[in-house]
Amino acid sequence: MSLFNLRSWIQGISFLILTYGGRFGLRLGHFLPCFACPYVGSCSGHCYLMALQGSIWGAQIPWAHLISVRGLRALGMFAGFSFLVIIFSKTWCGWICPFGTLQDWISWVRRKLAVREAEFSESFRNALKPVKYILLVLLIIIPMFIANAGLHPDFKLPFCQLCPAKPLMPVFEGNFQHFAIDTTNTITFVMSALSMLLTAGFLVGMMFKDRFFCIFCPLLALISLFDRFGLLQLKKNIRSCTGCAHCEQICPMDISDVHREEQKEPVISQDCTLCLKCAEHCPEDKTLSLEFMKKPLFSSSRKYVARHSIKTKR
Amino acid sequence: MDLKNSQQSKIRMKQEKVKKELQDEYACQMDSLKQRDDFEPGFEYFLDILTLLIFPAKLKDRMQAPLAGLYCIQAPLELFHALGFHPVRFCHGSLALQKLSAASLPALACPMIKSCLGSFLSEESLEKICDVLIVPTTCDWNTKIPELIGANLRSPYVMELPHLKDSARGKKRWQEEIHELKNYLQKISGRKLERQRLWTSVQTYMRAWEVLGRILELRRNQQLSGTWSLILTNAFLVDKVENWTENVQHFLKKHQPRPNSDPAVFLAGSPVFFPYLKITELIEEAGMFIKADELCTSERILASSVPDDLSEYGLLKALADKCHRGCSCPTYADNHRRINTVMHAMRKSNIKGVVYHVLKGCHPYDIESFVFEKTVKENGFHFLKIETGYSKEDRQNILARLEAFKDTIG
Repeated sequence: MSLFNLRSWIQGISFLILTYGGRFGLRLGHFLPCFACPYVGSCSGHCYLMALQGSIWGAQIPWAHLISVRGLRALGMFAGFSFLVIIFSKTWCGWICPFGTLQDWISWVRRKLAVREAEFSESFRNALKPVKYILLVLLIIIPMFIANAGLHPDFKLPFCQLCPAKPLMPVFEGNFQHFAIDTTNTITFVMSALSMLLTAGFLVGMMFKDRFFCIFCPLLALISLFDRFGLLQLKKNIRSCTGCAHCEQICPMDISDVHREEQKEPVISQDCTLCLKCAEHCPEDKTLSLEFMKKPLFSSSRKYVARHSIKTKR
Repeated sequence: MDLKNSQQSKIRMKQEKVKKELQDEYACQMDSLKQRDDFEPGFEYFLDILTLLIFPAKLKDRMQAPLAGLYCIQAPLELFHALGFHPVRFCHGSLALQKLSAASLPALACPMIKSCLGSFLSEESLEKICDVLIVPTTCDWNTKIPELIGANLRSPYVMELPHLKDSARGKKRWQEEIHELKNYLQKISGRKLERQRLWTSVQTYMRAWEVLGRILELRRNQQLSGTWSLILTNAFLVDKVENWTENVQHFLKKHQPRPNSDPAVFLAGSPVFFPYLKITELIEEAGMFIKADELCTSERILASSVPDDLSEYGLLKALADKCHRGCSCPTYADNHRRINTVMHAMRKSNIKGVVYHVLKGCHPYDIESFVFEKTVKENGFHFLKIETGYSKEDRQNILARLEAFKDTIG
């Protein structure tokens, strides 16, 4: 089985489990490093970003409670998240995340229709890189301000309020109620209107660009902080790379670092989702490898490219 | 008027003489190959189609498609294929043909360019019957050849090759060149490029790349000699790609490997093209086995393309990248990763030495040979540089050097 097929299967199964698993009593916790959206009633686990922004396990905490059971709860939640990220690294993004899978399905349709993918220049793409970190900082700071500086509580869960997964993912259980403008007050109106605009914008973006949302994803930014410690690593044999740039060409996140790297072996960069398309399409034997605790799980090869690279696109 | 007629008559006589010599040169090389111990009937097809190079009219009849003559490997074959052209590569290894271009080129010009221009100036030439001629500005010789052939015959289509591969502007400029080439071919052929046909062509050439990989694998296992492998790859593009692929598959099924245990070497440097097989034959005569190479007429004759965006734009972009960044021609200014190909193949296949072949006058390969030598030796491998031409006069001298080299790696 090709890596592409294996990934497609795992993505499909993960999507089903994380979207509908709750109906069968599955509870995977509130610290999942992927967009298992809590607004999907039948979901089997929750995206850690909600916990991180929340008042039970997250940043909406009065300073006085930092060193207390409440603080420890937040720390425990973060420890659970960290553990999962260290074990599976960014496969959470490339192989498990239901929202990532949804984007891949949309890209698949675009490819089938032979619609041209939008291109971002390298400088523009680089300029977008800090956005996800800014969002990450904001989604931590705003709840802190609510708890400590009197910011209106309707700003709670600020990222979830704007996240396009909130209206889109519940659609898979037939729930369209999040496509709505909340007119309770000015804040809810502005936030919900902004959410609708962003959702529409991201939907269009996802139709024309692979993994468009991931470019801005604060969860990817948070997972990136663990890149160095992950047990799964993408390694490059810098001595065998001939610079063909297939890795750059095929990357859904437009990453050029793998192609350019000529000094060090680990090549997971901040935008990498570990989808392994680069390793799959690298025609040089054992040049790109996925390693788990330094043991290779998959290595690039000319034979693999010859056997699978075209077939997977038919 | 008489003077002009007399000159034309002299030219015609010279062309006739060269034609005869060219046919003898081909026949002699064919005989020599057929007399080898490792000759097998499966090679007949490849030798037969290589013979078509000196009978261009027959080649054109066989293809039944407009011919696109290409210099170098930078123009994407898939694009020609999709627009109904049959791409033929202008590589010539003939000594006889050089006689026709002697007056038009410097004495120290690259032998392949001499031979190519000679072919242009011959009476019955492949170049003359091509419907389009495409010249990318790779080396200095190729950059100037449009002027030379333009003065004598007709102007080819020139593709301006950016000599920086890894810069965003180089990449963009080359993509623009590919789009311009598409427009030019559409105009000539009167056809519009269809995305589905282009995608089919990509798949067709990927199948050819796949079988090329199997040829190379045989060679890595020392089950197919460097010379025969070169014959197989030289024959690529002399026939329809589908026929070549099918015949290689057929050959692979029938091939009875004869394991060889001679010390293995890597052949690097200037292109080697039929009937000029002196260097590969001498390496083998000296008792060494060419396990791998990086010649643009052999292992690099075809590269893989992995389009992800299947729109016409996406396919052309992938093809542009394959022919630009995927190419390790020494004419690029940022070509430092070329050595990686060599070192990786050597480590992987347990090869102990590099024979670096330079055609006298082939400056880019000659210039890079110095960096190569340094890196190869620093990594504990052996290195031998052979500078030569199409003439057979230096055979004994080269053989003696190769035999001495064998002793160092054996």
